[in-house]
Amino acid sequence: MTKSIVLWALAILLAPFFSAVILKVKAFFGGRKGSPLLINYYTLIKLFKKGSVYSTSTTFLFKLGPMVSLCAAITVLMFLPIAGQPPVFSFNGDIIFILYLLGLGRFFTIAAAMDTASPFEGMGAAREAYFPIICEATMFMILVLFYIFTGKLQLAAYFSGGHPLGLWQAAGSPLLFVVISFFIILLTENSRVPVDDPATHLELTMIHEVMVLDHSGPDLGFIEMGSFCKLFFYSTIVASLIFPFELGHPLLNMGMFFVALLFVTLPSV
Amino acid sequence: MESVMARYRMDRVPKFVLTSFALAFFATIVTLEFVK
Repeated sequence: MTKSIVLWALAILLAPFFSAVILKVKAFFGGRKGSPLLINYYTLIKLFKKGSVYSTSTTFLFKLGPMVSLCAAITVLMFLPIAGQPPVFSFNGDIIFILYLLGLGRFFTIAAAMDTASPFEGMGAAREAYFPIICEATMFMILVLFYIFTGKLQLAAYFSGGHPLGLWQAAGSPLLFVVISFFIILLTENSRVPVDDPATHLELTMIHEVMVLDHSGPDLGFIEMGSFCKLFFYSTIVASLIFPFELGHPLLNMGMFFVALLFVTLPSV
Repeated sequence: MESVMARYRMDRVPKFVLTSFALAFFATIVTLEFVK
């Protein structure tokens, strides 16, 4: 249990790092030096030091959105088996709870965006509501498949210990499709290229970023942190499927998990 | 240019995301038919 809590805390601490790796790789391929690997930590510290500015047209929903989305993302990480270790919380059916917890975070982010009454944010909110509906259908189809293999609706039953390897042994070829599906979900849910470009400056081209244009200071920090945790969540799932091996020692497993996570985050530039 | 590319992309994004559903559906059918 202590190990799981430590891993959960580490996941929250390391989540901004993996997002910075993506920025670094993107800069490398663009022929630039890029920002330092700790850029997201500097940004978060800067945002938390600032004060928030609220429009007079917004209500309490605007303040609630970032907090709920961050809390949902952090709670979701509690159910995630990291480096093959059992998660902090786990129960049969937790995967459905996780999916709707992420949905709750999304709902409040959308509600906060609509609360500003900005047409641009409304446009982004509509897109944010539309694409995850398709992702949800995919997720439930994958759940059906995993239920056939394990007989459980539990994240720990799929991704902790030697279970991922068991999934590959049970049905390797269908699982290849599942990995590709999960990767597409990762790109969509985390607003990565080609679904969205988080680096763009034009509101017309954005999905997620356009919804958070009016947030500032700690509120924007909460949203940024929530999106880092969400990226970590989906990357961990894909990494567990790509590298399902148990190396026998917790430290070796941790090292391999770290490499696998980098391997997954690199193509999601 | 960026907005033209964005509009071009926006039409294709739902198809791209639907591909993931098609793949997962195919995997389930293959499993039910051949693996299980």
